[in-house]
Amino acid sequence: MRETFTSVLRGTALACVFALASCSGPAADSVADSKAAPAAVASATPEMQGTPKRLRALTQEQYLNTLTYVFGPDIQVNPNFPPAQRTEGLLALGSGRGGVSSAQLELYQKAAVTVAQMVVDEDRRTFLLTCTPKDPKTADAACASQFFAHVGRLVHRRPLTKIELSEYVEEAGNAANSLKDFYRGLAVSIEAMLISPDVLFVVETSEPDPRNKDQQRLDGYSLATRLALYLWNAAPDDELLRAAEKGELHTPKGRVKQIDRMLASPRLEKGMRAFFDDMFAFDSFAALSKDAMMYPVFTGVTATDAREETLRVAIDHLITKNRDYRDLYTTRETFISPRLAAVYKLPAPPTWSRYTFPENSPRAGIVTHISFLAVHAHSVRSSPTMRGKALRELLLCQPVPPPPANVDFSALENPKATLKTTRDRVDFHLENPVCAGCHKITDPMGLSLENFDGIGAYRETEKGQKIDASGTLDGKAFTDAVGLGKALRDHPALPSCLVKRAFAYGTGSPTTNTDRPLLAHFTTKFGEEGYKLPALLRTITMSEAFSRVAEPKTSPTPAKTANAPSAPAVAANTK
Amino acid sequence: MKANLSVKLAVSCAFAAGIAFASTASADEALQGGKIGYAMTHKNWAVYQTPDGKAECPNGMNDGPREQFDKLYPREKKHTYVETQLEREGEVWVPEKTAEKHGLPFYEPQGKIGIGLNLDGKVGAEDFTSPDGKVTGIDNQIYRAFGCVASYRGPDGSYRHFVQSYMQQFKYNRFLLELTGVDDLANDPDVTVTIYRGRDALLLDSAGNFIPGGTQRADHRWGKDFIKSTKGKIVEGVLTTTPIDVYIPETLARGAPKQFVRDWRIEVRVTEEGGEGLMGGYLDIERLQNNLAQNWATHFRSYGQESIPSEYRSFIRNADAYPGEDGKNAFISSAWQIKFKQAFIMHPPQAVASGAPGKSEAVQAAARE
Repeated sequence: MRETFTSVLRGTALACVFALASCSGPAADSVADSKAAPAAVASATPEMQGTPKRLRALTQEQYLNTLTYVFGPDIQVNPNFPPAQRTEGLLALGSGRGGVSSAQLELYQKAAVTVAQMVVDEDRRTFLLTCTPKDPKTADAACASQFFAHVGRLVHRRPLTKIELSEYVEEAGNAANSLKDFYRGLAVSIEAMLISPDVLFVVETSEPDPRNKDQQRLDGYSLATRLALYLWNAAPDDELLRAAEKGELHTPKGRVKQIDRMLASPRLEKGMRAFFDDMFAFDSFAALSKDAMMYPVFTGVTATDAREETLRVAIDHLITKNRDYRDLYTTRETFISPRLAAVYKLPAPPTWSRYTFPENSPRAGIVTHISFLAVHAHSVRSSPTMRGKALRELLLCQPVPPPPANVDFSALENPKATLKTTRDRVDFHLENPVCAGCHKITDPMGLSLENFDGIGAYRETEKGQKIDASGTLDGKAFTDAVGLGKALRDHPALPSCLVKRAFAYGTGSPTTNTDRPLLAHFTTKFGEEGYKLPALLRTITMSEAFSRVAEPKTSPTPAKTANAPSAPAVAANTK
Repeated sequence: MKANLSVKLAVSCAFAAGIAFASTASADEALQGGKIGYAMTHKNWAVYQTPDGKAECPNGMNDGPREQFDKLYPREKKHTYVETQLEREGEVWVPEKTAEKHGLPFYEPQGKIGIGLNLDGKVGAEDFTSPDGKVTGIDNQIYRAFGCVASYRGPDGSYRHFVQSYMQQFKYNRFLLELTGVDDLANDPDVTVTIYRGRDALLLDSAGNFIPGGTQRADHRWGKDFIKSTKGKIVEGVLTTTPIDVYIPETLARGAPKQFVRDWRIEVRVTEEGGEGLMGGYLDIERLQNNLAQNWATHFRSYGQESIPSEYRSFIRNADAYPGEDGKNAFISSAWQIKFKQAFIMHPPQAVASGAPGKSEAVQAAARE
């Protein structure tokens, strides 16, 4: 019976995934009354068409964060969900592309089985279940119904429909009677629920915007989910769902209340860690390896800690201290662990500690962290090109074209013996007109980081020759990495790139040329508010653009499989 | 000196602030403000070995507990529990009562070649000469007891194996050297050397090898007994120290956590990466026997064919210093081959530079003469 039920859900999942591009709703009127909007609502926001509704898979972190909220932090699973494909600079945009393989479904199911067993475990059932069955050896529809109505709403990110609820209760009852165990029966339906496509995939749905004729907006639950995934990297909590249910997220007062609550929550930290991990392309750490002979001090723990260091600094600087985003590239404040200290050649207590690089230190800003320096380098040596490319693409949103297919690496890989330093070798790029076109936008930046080897350890010489760490960034010259940090800090593309990434990440949609006026407006406001991240998040999430849905160019048939009903309809069904 | 103070203040600050700390010292150098720290990574008894062992051990390796038990209590005969196991177990703890009554052989290394330091400044009849012939008067009589015991011979004697394994696994045995007042790590006629017990694991690379650059917190609470300072000098990269009496942490702390060493000193080639050389001094044979018996269970000794009752009698025969009340020498000259890796040593506030310079009893006696 369980297999049958699961199979049905699997089929539903696949159907939904492949209908990804088809999830659109009818055109309609508008709702929100912007006249009553608080100051935070961007009433002067330039007109934009909105973003498409997305169907995207929950990431592993979003799945786990949601389980932690629903069942508590001791529900520990390691599901190994496959990563998304990086798209337009963000993994978050790749989570809306691609299908689901049978192997991936197996991973989902394995995780679901584990969680279900843990929830009904004898030690946990007393506090995770909202009721006690009359007889633990048989089905108890009333108790199961109470449980699934409560938990189902949280993991589905909306109330269950009557049909969904009755299915879960019925299957739990059938299994309980077969197994003569209420809890094992319940586990069968919990497992099914956790691999439901409505749980694993975020299916955004829209409704007519009552205020703007011919425009669509996200419905309350989709907006709640978009907000929660953006700010908390998890499903909405009970209060946010209640606000969605009451339609409050479409009133300026109601929305700002929820957004301010979310921005003030400690859960914002997890949300922003996920954002910066994505923006900085730290998924690269999963494949990072350094030559153990060349860099014996660099281990797997070093890599993990390096990623953590930069994320800690970002959160501390931008959230805890609410400081200017641009100063992230010049700050000497950081956190170090014993493993990182070995590379930094510093003493460190056995746990994470705050540390401030002294004024005469060659390190300032996150670009001089081990994370950035090690990830954007070869396994045996530094790479000014990789570093420069990463700076351009990740921090300034300036894509660098890939090398031509017939590129000749011989000059670099087999350099003349007289060429001692990396600068000597990569200068070849700039002499060759074929290479220079791209390398002149990457290498002059990357060369200023040459005082740091392939793992980010400081060095003054290379093969006995003093390193020249001078460089330029779009006409601004500097002599070392500290100068690079200052040039980055003052580069106009630095804040605008963050704005672009933040908006795309939050909406799950790549930005386009038509979004430029909107992004420019956000960037201006970001500057007016001192380049403070929480203020930017508030601006973006309060904007109409965040919730407005773009009309599809064509009108494919709407998917009818797992779309959530609109909030009032669900409320009616569950009463 | 000013920079040194800055480092100390920075480190003190770290402890004062709980987890936060700041430094004004220039980074990326192991020798900062005239100070450099080292953590011991290898400690093996200095045992001279030829490739096949026949020169120093012509009779082969000694028997261990299992072999001796079989010889003492042949299986074809009937024995009582008291006459066999209990008797032999008792002899491990009270070896002086057994004398040589069993007549079991124990082979001590032959020849005059040995490794170690000249502890008394004299060239005695029993002293060794280094393999290259350059150092004479080497005092390392414990080699007589350990030299033909498989456990102590390289590369994979049981004792050597476990000492190195536990160096990685445990923190208790962390032995730190801190050099202060260093102007030049190659040549400096006057440096201060302070030893501490550390509290942290050693830094390893991904292959499990010890590497420099780790941090060690000096144990100023439970490790006060270990803190001692002495003077030293560095000549052409080799650090030698004035003898003092110290405690050094035992590899295992199952029963006896520390070893008392008289006239302890080192002769180590030091760099910014680490150090390698010799450590020497005199060990109290009663305490040594007790430490061995308490810390190393019979299964360790069986793997390495090490009989503590036999070794103890060798200690007595070869003890060469510090007579006890009975007029017999109670201490035995010893040497270890040691290695260090550079480590940053952190101290809690107001605990830096503790451990007043000390003098060994021998030095004090010499001064009196």
